[in-house]
Amino acid sequence: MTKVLYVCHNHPVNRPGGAEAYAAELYEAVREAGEFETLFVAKAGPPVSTMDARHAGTRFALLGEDPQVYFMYTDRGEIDMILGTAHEKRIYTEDWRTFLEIHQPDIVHFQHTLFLGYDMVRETRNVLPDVPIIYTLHEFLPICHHSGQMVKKVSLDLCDRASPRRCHECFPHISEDMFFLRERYIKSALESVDLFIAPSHQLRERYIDWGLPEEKILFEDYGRLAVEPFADPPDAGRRRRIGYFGQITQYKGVDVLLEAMKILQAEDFNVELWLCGANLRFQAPAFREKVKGLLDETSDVVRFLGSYQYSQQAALMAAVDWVVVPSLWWENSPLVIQEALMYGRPIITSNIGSMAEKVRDGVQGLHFIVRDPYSLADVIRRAVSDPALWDSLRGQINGAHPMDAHLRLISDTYRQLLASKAVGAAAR
Amino acid sequence: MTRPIVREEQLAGATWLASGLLALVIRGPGSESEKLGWKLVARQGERDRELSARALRIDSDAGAGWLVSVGLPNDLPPDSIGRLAWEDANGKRVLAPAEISTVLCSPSDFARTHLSGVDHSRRGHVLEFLASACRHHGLTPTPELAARLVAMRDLVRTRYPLTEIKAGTRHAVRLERVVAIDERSFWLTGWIHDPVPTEARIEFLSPEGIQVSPDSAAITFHPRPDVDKTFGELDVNPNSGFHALVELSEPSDSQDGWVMVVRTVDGDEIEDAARTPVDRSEEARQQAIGMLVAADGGELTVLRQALPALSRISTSEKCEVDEVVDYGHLPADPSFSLVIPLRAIDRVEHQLVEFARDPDLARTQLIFVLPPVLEAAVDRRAPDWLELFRVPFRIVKLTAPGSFARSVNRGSGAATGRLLMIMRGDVIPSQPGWLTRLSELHDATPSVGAVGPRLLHSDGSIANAGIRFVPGRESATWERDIPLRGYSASLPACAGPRRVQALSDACMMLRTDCFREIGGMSEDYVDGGGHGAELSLRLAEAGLESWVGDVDAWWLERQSSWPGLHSLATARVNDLLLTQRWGPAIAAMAQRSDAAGAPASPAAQLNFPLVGSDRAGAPVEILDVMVIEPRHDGHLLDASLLRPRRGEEVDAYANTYGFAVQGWVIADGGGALKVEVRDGQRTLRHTSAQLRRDDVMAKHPALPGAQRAGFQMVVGTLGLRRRFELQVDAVSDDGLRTTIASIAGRRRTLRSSYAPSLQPTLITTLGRTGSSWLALLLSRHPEVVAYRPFQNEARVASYWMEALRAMAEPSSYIQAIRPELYQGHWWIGDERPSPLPLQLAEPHMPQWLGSENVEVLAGFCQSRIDAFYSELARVQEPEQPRYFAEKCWPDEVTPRLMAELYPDGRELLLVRDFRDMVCSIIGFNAKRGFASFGRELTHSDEEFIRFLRGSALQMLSSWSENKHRAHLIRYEDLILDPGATLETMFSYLGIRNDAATVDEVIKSATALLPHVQRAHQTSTSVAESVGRWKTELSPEHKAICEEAFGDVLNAFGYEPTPTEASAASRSPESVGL
Repeated sequence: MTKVLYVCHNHPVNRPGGAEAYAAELYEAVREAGEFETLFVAKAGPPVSTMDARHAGTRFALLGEDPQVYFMYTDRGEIDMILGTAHEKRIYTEDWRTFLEIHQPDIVHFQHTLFLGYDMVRETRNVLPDVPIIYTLHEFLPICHHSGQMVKKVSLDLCDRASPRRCHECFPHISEDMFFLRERYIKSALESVDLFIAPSHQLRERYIDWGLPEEKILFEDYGRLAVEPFADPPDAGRRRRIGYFGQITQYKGVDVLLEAMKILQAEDFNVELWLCGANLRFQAPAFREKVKGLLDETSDVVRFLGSYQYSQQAALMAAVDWVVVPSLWWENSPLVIQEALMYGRPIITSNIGSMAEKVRDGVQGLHFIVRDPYSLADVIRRAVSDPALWDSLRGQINGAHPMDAHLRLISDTYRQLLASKAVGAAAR
Repeated sequence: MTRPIVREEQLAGATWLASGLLALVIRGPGSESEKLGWKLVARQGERDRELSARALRIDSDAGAGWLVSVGLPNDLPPDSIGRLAWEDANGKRVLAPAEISTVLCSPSDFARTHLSGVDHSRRGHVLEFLASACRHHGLTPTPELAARLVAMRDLVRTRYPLTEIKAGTRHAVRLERVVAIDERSFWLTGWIHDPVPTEARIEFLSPEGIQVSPDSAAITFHPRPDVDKTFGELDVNPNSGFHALVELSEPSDSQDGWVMVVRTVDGDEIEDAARTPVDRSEEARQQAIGMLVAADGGELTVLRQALPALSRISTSEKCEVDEVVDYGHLPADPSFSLVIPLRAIDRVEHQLVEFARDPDLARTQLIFVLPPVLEAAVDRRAPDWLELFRVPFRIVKLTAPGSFARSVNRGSGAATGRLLMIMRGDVIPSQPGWLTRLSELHDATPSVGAVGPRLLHSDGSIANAGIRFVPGRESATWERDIPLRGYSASLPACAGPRRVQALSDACMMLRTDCFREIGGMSEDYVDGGGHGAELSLRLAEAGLESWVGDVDAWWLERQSSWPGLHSLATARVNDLLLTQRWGPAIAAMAQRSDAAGAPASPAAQLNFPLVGSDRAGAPVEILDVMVIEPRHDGHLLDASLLRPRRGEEVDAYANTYGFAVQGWVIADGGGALKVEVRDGQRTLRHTSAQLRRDDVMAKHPALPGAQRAGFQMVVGTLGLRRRFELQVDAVSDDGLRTTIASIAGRRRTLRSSYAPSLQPTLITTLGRTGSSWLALLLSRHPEVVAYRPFQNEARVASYWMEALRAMAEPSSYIQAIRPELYQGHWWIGDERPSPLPLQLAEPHMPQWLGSENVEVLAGFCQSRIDAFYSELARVQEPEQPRYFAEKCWPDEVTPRLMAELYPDGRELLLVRDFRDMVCSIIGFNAKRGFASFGRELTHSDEEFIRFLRGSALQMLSSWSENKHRAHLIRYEDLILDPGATLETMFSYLGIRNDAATVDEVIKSATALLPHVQRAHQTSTSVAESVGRWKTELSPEHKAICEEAFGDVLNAFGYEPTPTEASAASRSPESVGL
């Protein structure tokens, strides 16, 4: 049976996150479909988990519940975070090579290489010259050193293009030449990839602009497992409850949302925000204080529920009328949008990037001008004041991209790549 | 005669300065001059052995005497000391053993007892005598000796009051820092608190006792307001601080003990001892040199004084190859040796990433040169680099840190590639194949010495695209200037290839044997620049040029892994050295530069490729013009050729692909004359001599024809060989021809910036050679497209190359700006009524039209060829189209221009036995019912055969010109052994040539053949088309064939014609093989 190896920078059991959640779901779906044998390697160790390698003399350990799921332990200090490669290449030429030689996968599907390094791809090609390599692009990390956000570091202004000069402006301590080398280094490793998968058109376009071959990037949104539908929330005359789900970071626009709520509170506007967000405590002090201050100032209209388990999400989402996604960065294919679509909740979102792509204004939700709390307040006011609008939008939501369709496409892709690689190998 | 020691001359003291180095004090009268006659002898058995000894007259409180140093050989038994003797004019005197042993003491006691009482004025000499003893006796200094010398110095030297630092103190001095520039040169800094520090007498004393007084040229003063404030001064003294460069007569290795003594104008003497150890770090040395340069002002006096020390820095390095380690299998017979000295490893992986994707590395010997400090890091990483990046490389480990030049020289010692590429660790190739492209420029450029890429910053601007020398702005030195540095690389002025005055040492390629012949890289320059300029100047001295190619590399110089001096300091030090060594040569080079404005003007920068009046770097360079005096018995009475002249060009055609021809001719009898410029048998340009020339009329006032003797024309060079030799002929009305001059020149390869998606495979051949069959075969290959070979014989490439040549002719493009309109193709200008003007009021536009415009036009023509075949590929859908195949004649235009514009293109020369060709043409003409292939131009088959000799010679000439890059195919091989012929041919093309592909190509072409060949075939079967001449030609025709083709057939390997009339006298040599 054809063996597919998934590589990811994290596993959801260690720390929740969109890319890793999707990667794990895909792995499960492919495994259950039975056509391919599956294998999963997730990076473990700092910073995604606090534990160092569990077994002496090896970087590898098993998840435990599934013998096909490995942890590969690396320490953040081992990785040159600018170039995205390990300082000591032995991790690739010995540890990773040995893993590949033992397992001999027929397909290697990289979901993420953060904290592992792009040279995982290079070495995979060295060891397995005829094996298809697929790389799913989850954000702009190869392009943008600023956590792959394509947002300027100080101003948080949107950035539409990386260049050594522009990147150096964000990181004055890193030279332009280093950014120049960074791009060439990463691209050289990614040359080994046979097919990239981009879950949004805007992401795909951005990578094409960056120089990845257009014909090598396939657009395919994340597939999501079907969920149990629940009833629409009761219509109490107006759809006044808004929910925010996600992390509270400076890129997610929670401060903009709270500013908008402050405006509405000052108007005594009848609206309520359920703020379900985690990780505020890990944020920079200034941002933390700003959010706390805004929470204090908007306590009449904002319920801060803090972090939640994924299992609680359905219930929380069932209780709100609208889901708001106010991100300041472009986003890729935010899972929260998919989840809102799965649960039939119209979405109020920033008018940029994949948020605007996934939520068409007036169809599945409403757009507001990114970073503009007044615009957001206007849109919330309009949304809450017009019950027919909610019904209209709700009626046009057809759910998220289903995992079964996604699985079919992914499986077809695997088969095609295997076939073309086999031809190439035979020709050699 | 041996005499006993007289009482007046006795050994008073002795001490071991170091192992094998003895110091003695001998008391007794004598004069200073006596030491000149002294010899010291050790007696070994019955044999006397002369020892290395010298003496210094000392007078002290204890009386007059001699300080003697003696070097003892290692093999001298210790007891020989007891039988020392010395000899002077009065004879030999022997020292009794007991006397030495009784006076032997420690160095300190020796100094205290015998030297501390030496007259004050002689103490400096004593210390210097001791400090130099080691060197004098050929011994290696040791730390032990240094320590003893320091101890002795402190006992011998005169001491002065130490500085007191408090307000109100009148004089004070502080030696703050001592930096070793090398073992003898030191940079000292501090301050002097004195009303007039510049008038104070300053002396420095090295730890070993060498006293030195820097002259005014080597000490500079500057304000130290902090010092003035400390002493409560209200005004700032502009000279309180000082920097001094001192050079010792002996090396100094000690870390501590430097003393500074100052005698003020008031006569006070004070001293201060350095409070910190001598700083010998590289950083401090670089900083010191930088300060030295900065403090030097414009006159370079201090720097000039420092130059010997700076030059010594690298030459004194004890840096040799320690170990060579190979990682992976390096190519056994490399084309290139790429030597990269490293001072850091942070760029190595980036270089390997680029090399990993470059097929050139398969034939490159990659050599990294390492100082010891990097060994451990590289030893740990190198195996993983090889495993991860899959590029084999060699590590050359040095015994000590070496300068860049030393590292290059050591690293290149094992280079076996024909071409050596020197590259800094912060240069990153921009594209695969760059070494090949540079080597092509190297190999194709006559008189080339070195080539280099354009070096770009990471933002794409020019970092270095060649160096020129300009007069220094502040001093009488030549400075290296990097024109257009920081400007866009897209500026035409910095496009390559261009000849330049010098190349950067950051990246340059030259023949390995040439590098060795000129002595490698000079190690005298301070790291950070200068080596490349020196190398280029040495090549120029040998008559070899430096060129920048149309290849780019990134030079991430700001983060250079090679720690250099402050750039200003580096530049000035190295420029000074370059000027000292090469001043006259640089001046001559600069004098030849085109007068395009002041050296620093923008215009001059734009013209920087033009390095001399010989217009090197311009598209056309006239190398020689030979004017031939008319014979008195000929049809010419007088003639002269005024242009071109070697190295000169008139304004309107300067820097273009054309050149002007101008002169005058007078026929004997005053008849009309035509003037032709010819390339062999081909007339390139012609005109009538009809212009009025006052100079000719003045010379020949009474001659008929003198009023209309002048001629002028402009000749385009596209289609000529790159080195050409043309004739200028005067032709009379009745066809009499006289050559009046020959012009030798060379022209630059025509390049365009167009990047074609398909490369050409030209089939250069004549008619009836099976070329359609070959084209059909090619068209069936999955990587080749061809347009209906049998039906149409497309000549798309020839069409556009001819169009290009026509429009690139000066006669055509000048019509755009100075038109003379007439009926017909006026834009070609061939029939322009008046000659082309040689001078135009504004030269820039005609120059642009004749240079950049031509190159853009070439790109346009390429784009149309590309578009045609890309569209064809879209329709035909070959699997992986890489080539288009097309026939062309072996003429002077298409194959040459295509070869220049498509360096990656291919050319197949298809020949067929010319006798069979004759049969085939005659048969084909008969089949079609009309004459063609040239037969229509002749009156008989016999004449036609002779006529075909020209075509046969053209094929041979084409093969001779291109055999280094083209592939020869014989029709007969193609017909009789198609599989092997195609396999070899496909291999030459670099396309699939496995048996299955070859079979499929033949099968597929054969399947099409019945439909297309019917009209073409003239023999009963294809196989019978080989050797048909044996049965079809009459004996007479065979004889004529032998006469017409015998030598060419022989050259192409065909059997001779078995006739009695064979012209046995012909040989391959006779046709220039």
